[in-house]
Amino acid sequence: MIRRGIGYLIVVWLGATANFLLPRLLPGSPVEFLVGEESNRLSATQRTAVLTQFGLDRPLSEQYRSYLSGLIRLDLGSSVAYGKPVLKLIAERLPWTLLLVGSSIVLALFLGFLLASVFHWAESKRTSSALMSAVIFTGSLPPFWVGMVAIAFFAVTLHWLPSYGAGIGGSVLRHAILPIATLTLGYIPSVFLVARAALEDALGEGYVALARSHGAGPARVLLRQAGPVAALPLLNQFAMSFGVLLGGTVIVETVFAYPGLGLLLYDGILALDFPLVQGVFLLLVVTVVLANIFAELAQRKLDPRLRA
Amino acid sequence: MNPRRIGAVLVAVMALAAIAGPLLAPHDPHAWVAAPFQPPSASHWLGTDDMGQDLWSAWLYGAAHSVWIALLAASGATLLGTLIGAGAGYLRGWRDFAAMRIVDFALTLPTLPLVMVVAFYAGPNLMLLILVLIFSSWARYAREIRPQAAALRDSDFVVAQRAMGATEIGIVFRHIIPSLTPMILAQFARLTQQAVLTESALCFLGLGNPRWVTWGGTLYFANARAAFLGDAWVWWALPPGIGIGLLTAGFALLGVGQPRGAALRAAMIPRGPAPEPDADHLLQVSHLDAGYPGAAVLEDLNLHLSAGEVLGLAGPSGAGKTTLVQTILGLLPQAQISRGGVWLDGQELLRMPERQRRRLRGREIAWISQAAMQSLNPVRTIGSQLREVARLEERLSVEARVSAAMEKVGLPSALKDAFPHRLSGGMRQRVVIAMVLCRHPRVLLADEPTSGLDADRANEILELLIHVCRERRMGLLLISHDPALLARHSDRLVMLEGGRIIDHVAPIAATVRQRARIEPGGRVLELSGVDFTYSGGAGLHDVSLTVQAGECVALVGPSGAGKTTIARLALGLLHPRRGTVRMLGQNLATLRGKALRTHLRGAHLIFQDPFAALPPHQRVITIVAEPLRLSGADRRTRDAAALTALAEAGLTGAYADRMVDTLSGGERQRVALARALIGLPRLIVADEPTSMLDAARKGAWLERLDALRHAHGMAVLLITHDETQAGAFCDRIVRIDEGRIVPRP
Repeated sequence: MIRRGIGYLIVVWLGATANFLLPRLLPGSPVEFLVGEESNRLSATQRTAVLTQFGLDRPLSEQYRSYLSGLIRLDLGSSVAYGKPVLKLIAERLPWTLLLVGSSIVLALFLGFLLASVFHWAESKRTSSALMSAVIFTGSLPPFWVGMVAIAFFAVTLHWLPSYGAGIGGSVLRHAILPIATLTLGYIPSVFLVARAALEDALGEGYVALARSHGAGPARVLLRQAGPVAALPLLNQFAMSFGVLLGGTVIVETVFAYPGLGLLLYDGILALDFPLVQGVFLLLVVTVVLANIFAELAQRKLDPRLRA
Repeated sequence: MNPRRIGAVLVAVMALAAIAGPLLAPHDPHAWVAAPFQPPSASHWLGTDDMGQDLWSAWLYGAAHSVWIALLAASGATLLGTLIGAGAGYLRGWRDFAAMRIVDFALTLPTLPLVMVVAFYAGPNLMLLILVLIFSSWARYAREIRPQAAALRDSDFVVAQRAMGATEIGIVFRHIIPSLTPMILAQFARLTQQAVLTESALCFLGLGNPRWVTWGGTLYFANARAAFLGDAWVWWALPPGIGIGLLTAGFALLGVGQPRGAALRAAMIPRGPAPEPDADHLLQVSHLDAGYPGAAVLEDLNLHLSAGEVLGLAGPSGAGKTTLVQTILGLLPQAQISRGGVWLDGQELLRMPERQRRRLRGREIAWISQAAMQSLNPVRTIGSQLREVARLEERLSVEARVSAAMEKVGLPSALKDAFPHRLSGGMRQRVVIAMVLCRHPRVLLADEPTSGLDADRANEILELLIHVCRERRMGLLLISHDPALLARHSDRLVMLEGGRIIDHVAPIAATVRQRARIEPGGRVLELSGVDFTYSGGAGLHDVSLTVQAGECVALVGPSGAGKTTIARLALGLLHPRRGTVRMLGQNLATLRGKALRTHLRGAHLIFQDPFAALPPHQRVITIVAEPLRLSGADRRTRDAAALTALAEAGLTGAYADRMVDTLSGGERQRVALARALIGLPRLIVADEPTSMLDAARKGAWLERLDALRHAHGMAVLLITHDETQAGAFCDRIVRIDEGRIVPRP
């Protein structure tokens, strides 16, 4: 267990180091990244001043050490575009993203599992094949496109729902509906595929046959026999694809101008706001590691075979 | 309506658009060819955008861009993932550890943000985009393929190749990669899907090169340039999204496994009225015709069972015993029942509505399956599973009935809170029987209730079952492929053969043959003072064993005693911790590499499971000729020798070109025998070679081995748990128990 913890710590450290090295290795002067678009208008003296201010004239190892010590103190630097500390910006935006991602994950897990159960319950092969093709096709639609079309349809044409932002107080829910729906729609197909396969494996096992021989109907078999067993791979899958889930969040927030971390990252990239991008990216890496840890602990708790 | 076929069609159409698109496009997508915001028309199928550019041409160019990038990225990711993932799983050790740490790291990087960040730092560069797509997607695939490669490394047919002296590289290219190909292809489809979506997302976010014509880019411009202010979004924004959707869906459907989804369906109802039953029995099957599409299994089958009677049903594997049982219970949705009837105490079961039939299951008619090991739900406690069954009966309290049932089968009540994986096979079988006892069925269908258990346990379980059935006046249908077992325990014995019930059973006689004495010509196998331990603790202690040239020695003992370990030591697949193993005069520990591989050709190992011991993707003649191929013989010699060996093993030349996966267990074990003989080894080690064959085939296979042994003067070490076999075919019996040789009394 401790070995895994150290492993994860190493991963976070590697992520931070990659973050550090990337801008210094790729083409372009760091000055452009640090100051933004106005770097073109700087004179040579001003450029040198910028470099000194950001410590870029110091040797690489020294820069690295101060970067790491800054991280440990949770000092992520200051955003160029917003002029505020990066940590503060992240703290402001984090709850919105949590609302979006949290609701979508819960909804997608529930609906995906439900659809997978329906797939196995269906009487005719045609129904189940059609269901699978429909779910796969839905999952193949690019989420940014779905978001755009949803806005065009529900907001612009029908005027039912607001088209951007997060709202305040009571209208938060109305603003959140379309983004959550779009994100959930994007997650459901992968949950469905994993749940379908896991249920299929479970349904082929001896204990399902035994339960049916004792008179269990499809509902009881799915809920009490196959379901609990199929939940385990689903948890595993959730952890493995958390990185992908976060990518979807970035897109949806961008399309809906939803003030979360994804939009922050996107704006930062467009504004060439180097400290902000670094900070948000590192946070995303840490989040994925946390999700992995959570899934592993949960699996250990839920699967009696692992509780040696 | 096959999902895979739909996927193939979609991909083919899109591929066509990709290749032919730029040629078919009526205009240059960058050129201003018409008035802006034109709706679709004959000259502009998708209308024009806000700068008067033709949207249909843009769509075709976008198709080409997406398809090419996706295929390149997916190919790179598949190659990288296969090398690292399969390599790690197969090679193990530090390479596996290092590779998996790299995979872990790659997996924790959030994909799209990473791609965005790199695009941000490096600018829009096509080569870099493809590289980033590769590096962000290979890890998940590597992690999924690794356990498959690891499992293959230990599968019997791969071990067989090593025992024959094949090189690791040879094994990888001839066996591992072909076995992994289906998974590789499925993953390639998934990776393509992912690449299309990621790449279009990138262009949509404006991180691509504005000069490229891409679907994502078109949507970016639609968003940025006010397509949504009017109706223009319908013909501007919808088609690219649909294009992405169709292309991605095509690959996704291709990568989908064949969904079965039939597990919970009700069995079909046969046409026509039921034939009248002959007499008045508790359970009666009459004139049953059942089978699967393309294969009739049961023909005009008649069977009856009375209260308190034990009816033994014998028959070779594949005869249809399990099909019969499942049809009676109505649990076989894939079966086609064309005729016949099943009555339980006067009620006809096949034509009964499913809901009503479900009520009978467990209450009136119960079932015990073959593999008790897998009949219990692994994530629920014993007690909870027993309670669930007991709750279905109304009379006594649940807890009381569960406790009574457990006591009856001899299980301590403390086990109620245990999970199935903690129990041995025998105990799990008792739990399954206890479940039956929680209620009071009149008929029990016991399908091979003791397979997988050793002789002592098997007898105990059977005696328990029969005692219970007599006590409760239940009718017991006892199915087994072992006629001796049935003869001992049943009141009446019938046989299922050729789809019908036959009333008599041919007597099984163990023939004790006169064996010609073979002059001892030296020792072919000698183990002296061998110690070996597995990491779990079990192993061999101070084992000494000798096999002389030309003799047949039986190694007999219960399961887990160490017989397979000795087989592996003899062929140099394992090395003793202490003591020596000499095979054909040479100490195996002193040989390495090519010398060892060459020396191994003097012996051959035959495995227990005929379905795992032969490479699943090769033809019979290739498999049989393998030992000669490894010693460098040319094609013609090999083929001729293979045909001879096949004939000696009892298979005609027609088998030579067949794919091995079309053969039955008995046929496969004869192929294994041919493979063992072709190199004319001096020693054959046969590890339980007939335990998975039917009684009828066992004797025949061993007789053939015996005859060939005499003809070629080979020594045989026959590992078996069957004393009768040992006595009938071998010159000498060596007994082993718990890792030690049992001294002769």
